[in-house]
Amino acid sequence: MASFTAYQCDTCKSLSSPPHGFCGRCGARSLRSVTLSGRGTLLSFTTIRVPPARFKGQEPYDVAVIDLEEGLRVTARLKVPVRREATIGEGVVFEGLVEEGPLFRLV
Amino acid sequence: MRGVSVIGIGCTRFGKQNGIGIIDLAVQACREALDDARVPNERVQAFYLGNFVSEALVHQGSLAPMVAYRLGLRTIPCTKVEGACASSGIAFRHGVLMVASGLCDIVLTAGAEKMTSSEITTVTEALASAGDAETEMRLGLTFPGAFGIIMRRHMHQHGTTREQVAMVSVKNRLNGSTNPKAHFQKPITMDDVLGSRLICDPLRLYDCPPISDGAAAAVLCAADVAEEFTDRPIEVIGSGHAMGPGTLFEMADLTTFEATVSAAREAYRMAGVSPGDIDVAEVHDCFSIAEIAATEDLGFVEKGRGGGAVLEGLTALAGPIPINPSGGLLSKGHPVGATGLAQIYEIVRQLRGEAMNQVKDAEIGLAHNLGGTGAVSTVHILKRR
Repeated sequence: MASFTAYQCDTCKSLSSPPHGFCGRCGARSLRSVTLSGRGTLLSFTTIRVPPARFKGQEPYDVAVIDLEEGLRVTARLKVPVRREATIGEGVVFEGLVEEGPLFRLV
Repeated sequence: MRGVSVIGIGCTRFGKQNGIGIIDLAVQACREALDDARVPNERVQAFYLGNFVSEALVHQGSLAPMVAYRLGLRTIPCTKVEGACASSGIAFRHGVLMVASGLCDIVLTAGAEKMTSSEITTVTEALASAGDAETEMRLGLTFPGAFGIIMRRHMHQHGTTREQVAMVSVKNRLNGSTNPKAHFQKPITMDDVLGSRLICDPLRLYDCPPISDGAAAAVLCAADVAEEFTDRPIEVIGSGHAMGPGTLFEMADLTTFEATVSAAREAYRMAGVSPGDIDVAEVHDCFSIAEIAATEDLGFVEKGRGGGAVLEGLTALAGPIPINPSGGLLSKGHPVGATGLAQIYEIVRQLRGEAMNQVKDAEIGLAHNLGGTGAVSTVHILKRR
């Protein structure tokens, strides 16, 4: 399991990822990077079977919205083993950054 | 602010329109609206055109002045408005503001899109540009995909069933079967929806609207000038326009579109009416699940009750809250830039008492347009004078 880097506002303490140079909630400019556990649960997900032109050939692939245990919500690619169905509420872990963005897998 | 009336409407047939370019589509709808209003060209003082992806799909920019010039309009300010699938709801809103402010007496608003001349993967990619390219669309998320995620969450969180969601498509395809301008004019069954191929689980093909070409238009006029042109003006009594998060991960609740809730609040407040006063509504059913969320977000039923409402027939043509009597996007088609004004077109026809699927004695109607994954919404409330 890889650790997940996020950004925490020094003023309002809210977490964000990816970084934008200032806090998306309060506007403060002082942020520091924090290392999150990479553990979370599935809020929802889908399997893309009709992809946009530049992802053609990758289908089917899964995209999920994940609640990390520290309170940050992210949208990411999800690796689901063949012959296994994911369910909402199931645990996931961060596997790493791939070309498309963050990748998680089922626990 | 001055009162604003709709005095003319126009809409092309929606569907595959071989050989007709986007400018001609828009001109057709505008010509029909100006003729319907009996407004001569020289009286039009501004033009707003909603369009989303004409640059990406048909390589046509500068759309607003191009359309206006071909219509025979001259020198007036022409503005293209982009707000993804809510582009022409926003165009209509800006027309309303121009008249309400007193800057103009008569404004032409329109929306147009040409989609069927492109490959499906090209269209999917162009539509995906309404999402956040840096965080979500880079993952390969698509619009149907985003609504697949929302649908799965709605089913989990509110106990919404697959059959309830499918019933939206069944209802709207039935309504659209008598609409001569609809892309799909054939009813479908529950089994057709449940047996159609998966696009983005659990979303299936018949949960999605067809890809269509089309345009729609409306002529707006100061209420105190309207009688010069028509004896049956339709008043715009409420206009709401709001933003929300344009990404799934920034939504506090994946089953609620804050943009819709906020735009509806503004429109209801301005109109001085509540959801229970609405006789007929055209809502943004870009996917079957989106109509269920909209039915809730607009306040017609409580959050979580939208699925039950459609399956029980509450939103059917003969029900207490008729939704999408035109057939909605699912049946009419969704030429994205034209959709908001096509909704206005249907509501005006309902309030004039001349709709194909007429809701009896409809006096107050609502049109709801949604762009992106909830990035923007407009809500308009219209009333028969």
